Amino acid sequence: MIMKQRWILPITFVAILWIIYSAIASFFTIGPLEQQSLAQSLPADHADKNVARIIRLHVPVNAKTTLLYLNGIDGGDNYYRMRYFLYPIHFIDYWSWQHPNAGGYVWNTPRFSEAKSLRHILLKNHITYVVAVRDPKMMRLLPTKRANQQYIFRVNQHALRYGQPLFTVLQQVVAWK
Amino acid sequence: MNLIFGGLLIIVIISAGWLTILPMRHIGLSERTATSFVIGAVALPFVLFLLRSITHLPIFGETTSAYVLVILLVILSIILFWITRPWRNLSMQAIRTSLKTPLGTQILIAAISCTIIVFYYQVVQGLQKPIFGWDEYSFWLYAAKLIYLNHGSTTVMLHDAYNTYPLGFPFLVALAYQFTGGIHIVTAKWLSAILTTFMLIAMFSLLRRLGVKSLFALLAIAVTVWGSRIFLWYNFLAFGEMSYVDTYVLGVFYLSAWFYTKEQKDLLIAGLLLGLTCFLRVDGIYITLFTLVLFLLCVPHKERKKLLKGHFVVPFAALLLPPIIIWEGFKIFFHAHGWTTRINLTELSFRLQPSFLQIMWQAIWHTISNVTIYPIMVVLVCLLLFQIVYRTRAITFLTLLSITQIVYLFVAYLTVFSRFEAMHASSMDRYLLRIDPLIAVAFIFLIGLTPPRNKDNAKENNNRAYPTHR
Repeated sequence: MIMKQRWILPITFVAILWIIYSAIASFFTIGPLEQQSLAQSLPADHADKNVARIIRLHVPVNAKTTLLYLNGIDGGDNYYRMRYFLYPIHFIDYWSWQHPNAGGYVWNTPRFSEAKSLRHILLKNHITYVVAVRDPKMMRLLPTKRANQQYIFRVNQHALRYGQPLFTVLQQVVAWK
Repeated sequence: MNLIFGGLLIIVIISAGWLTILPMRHIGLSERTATSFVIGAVALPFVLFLLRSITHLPIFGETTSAYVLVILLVILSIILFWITRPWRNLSMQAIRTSLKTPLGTQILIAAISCTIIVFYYQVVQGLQKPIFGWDEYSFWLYAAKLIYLNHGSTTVMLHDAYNTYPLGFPFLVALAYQFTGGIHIVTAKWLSAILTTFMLIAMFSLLRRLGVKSLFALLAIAVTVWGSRIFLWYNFLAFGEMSYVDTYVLGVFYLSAWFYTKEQKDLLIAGLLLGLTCFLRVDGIYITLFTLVLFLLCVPHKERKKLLKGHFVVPFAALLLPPIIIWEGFKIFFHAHGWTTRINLTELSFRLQPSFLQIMWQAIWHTISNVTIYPIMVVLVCLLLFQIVYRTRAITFLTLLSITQIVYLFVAYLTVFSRFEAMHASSMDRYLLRIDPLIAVAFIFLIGLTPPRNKDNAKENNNRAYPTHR
């Protein structure tokens, strides 16, 4: 059985009225939605650009530089934006589909809160610089570091290979709030 | 200047698709052009991907071979259009018949057209604002930038965490960078909006070909774009998704058109489009698979037997499989393993507990039942109710497919997504975006393809295709 002819007209009218309503309403609803989205994305974008600017000042921007970019709670949220800004610096992905980052729980894994595994990551990937933004758990391993600071560390490859403690391996280049 | 080169890019993309569907002689000019663009927007990047993989030529960037390639593409498209001369069959008949429509209908058409113009006004407004999408979408642009700067290298993304994500969209954006001469985020946004436009034009002309009146065909576009607010939103917020949505949705339209036309060439175009979607999305292959299975289930038994015979299956597979085989082969060759399930049995059993399932269902329900953002869900409910009494195979197919997409996402929450994402029903809006045009078209099939009441009308409209009933 198929649709009856006399149903079609009212249904069409309802649909058209609803569409006209949506189109008119969009002038009032889209503005606030866009403002809301801009309010969320612009500060994050601005903060990322600032971090990228500071990194550009203190880290050589070339393909030889390998960077471990630990951006705290966000995990991969604006990770690619940072990579986009800082190309051609080589980023070491500390997360993958097997070690997901969503919700930031990758920071609770021992991989980043134990000296041994962190040392392994640094050694294995020949990492030359570590950027720690917004206090990841790794910072607990370094005695003098304060919370809510952002840091760039240079990795002392010599100290790393000779198994010296982590606070000798990671030499602070710059810290900022 | 950008406008000229952007126009050239559009012509080149259309000609790539044009060449692909040249043997399908049953479709008209506007439908052919629009479908060609949607096909070409994936087929051309795919061919470039192949070209680079085989020859290692620098195809993008400021190199001689890249410039030669661009000039060659433009010349070849002009030659192609000159040989096929699509404009020679143009006539004024369509315009003359449209003038005969009654005044009331003309007013309604004008009203619907106005709403579509409002949609485009809002999209263009949004394109000019620096709104950022999410990480995955920054990934698209990151990939596009890398591919462009590395002269089209196909292996440059292999060391990335997202290395199994197909390179269709990044290659398209890199090609656009090549034409417009610089890396700008806004290029990708414009591309996605243009792609959606061509999909909507293709949808309109496909419906016209099936015998739907212009009023209803326009209504299909309006219901699509206003059916979910995020349709407007996604054009500039999550442009990486749009290329998949447009290609997949058009493929499904061609599948459902077959129920009315019984034209096997429609299925071939659908196969081509669905195959190309696997070069756009990491799980495109699964979605294509269940779409085709569902289609076969909805086809009447006799016809199914006919379709499953060699003389149809062979060309269908020849159009469907190349992107799938080549991309899967590429992944195997380079040992790329990223996107896969990371859930073990303990995690799965945890997620199957009623407490967790309830949280998941609630999150999903909160998204779906938000009628201010997704008014299309009301239409879906109506369609489901109508299934009880008014049933045609095409509508059943589209409705079931919409439900299957949601079920597919639910299974993905159980097996692929992280726990956090599953609990918050993230990505749900992307799946609703995908089913929104399907629901709109099913709705138009329901109200626009009803046979007339008496014989006189039937004679008048005897060139129309009628729905097949059960």
